[in-house]
Amino acid sequence: MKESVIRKHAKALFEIAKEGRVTDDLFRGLKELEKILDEEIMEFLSSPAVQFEDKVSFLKNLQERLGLHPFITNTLLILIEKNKGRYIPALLSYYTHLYMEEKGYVVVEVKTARELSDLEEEILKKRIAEWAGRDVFLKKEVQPELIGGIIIKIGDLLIDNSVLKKIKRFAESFKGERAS
Amino acid sequence: MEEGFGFGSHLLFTAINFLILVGAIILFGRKKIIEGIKRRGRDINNEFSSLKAEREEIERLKIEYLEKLKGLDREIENMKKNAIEEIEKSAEAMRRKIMESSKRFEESLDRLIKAEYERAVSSFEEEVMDMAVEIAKRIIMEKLGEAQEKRFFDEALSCIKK
Repeated sequence: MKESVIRKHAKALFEIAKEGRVTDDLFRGLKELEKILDEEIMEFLSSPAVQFEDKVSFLKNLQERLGLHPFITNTLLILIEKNKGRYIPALLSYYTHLYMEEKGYVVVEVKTARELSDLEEEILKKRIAEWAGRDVFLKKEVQPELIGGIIIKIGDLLIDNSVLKKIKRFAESFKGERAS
Repeated sequence: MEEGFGFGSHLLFTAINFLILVGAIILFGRKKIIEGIKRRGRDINNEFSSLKAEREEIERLKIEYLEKLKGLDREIENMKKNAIEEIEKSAEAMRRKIMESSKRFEESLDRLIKAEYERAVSSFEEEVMDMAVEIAKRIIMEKLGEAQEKRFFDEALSCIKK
């Protein structure tokens, strides 16, 4: 399944939530879900070896325990039924994105090789908030393969100042010189 | 006497009878005999003329065949000459064709070798480049300090213009 399809699922979920005026409930529920989604649970939900009925009963159990809205469990069941359980984290991420935009935040995706310090996070938020004129919601992701540096994505604007990018650019320019 | 007279008269009578017979034959058969002899003479003349004509015909045929034979010899010579020329022409054409094919094959082989060489060099360069990138990554990972990280962070922030 392509990322755009997951975006469509997230958007559909958000639209339904908006109509039902339960976007906040869903956001809270999804945050709770995000906390407990570890590798083992993801493996269980995405494995084709596990019976669909077992996954359904697991989700029902989770719904009761975490107080998840039925919209969430229904959407998750659709993904699981299509054997796309592994895309659940992406769905949560997109919903958060849409929710934060709806709340007036500018959503900024930040990827770094290591965790950002509190000070760095603060500086980043402040600078972007000044630039965008809105509060900032940071979607942080740690990717050690970046080696160092930072990638910032604000809507269509992409700032890639990672070490990996610099090395790749250097390697490509060297190949280009050799070819010419 | 009687005995001598008897034999002599008998011979005489026989001779007279013979002469009479000959005279009768000449008298009555002369015309036919002459005609027969003439006819025979004509036949012989005819046969002779016929044989002469046949001989002339044979002589003529002989000359004709001899001429033809000479013509055949010339034709055979020409055929031999033409055949040799054709064979030489074909051999030359084949030699040219083989030379051209060989040249084309040699050229395509050169191109193939060149392409393979360039591919091998390119592949080797790619491998070396990948190795260099991996080494660079490890070195940078080890050497990357707080100061560099801050510089990357500040650079990224500077891209967000007010």
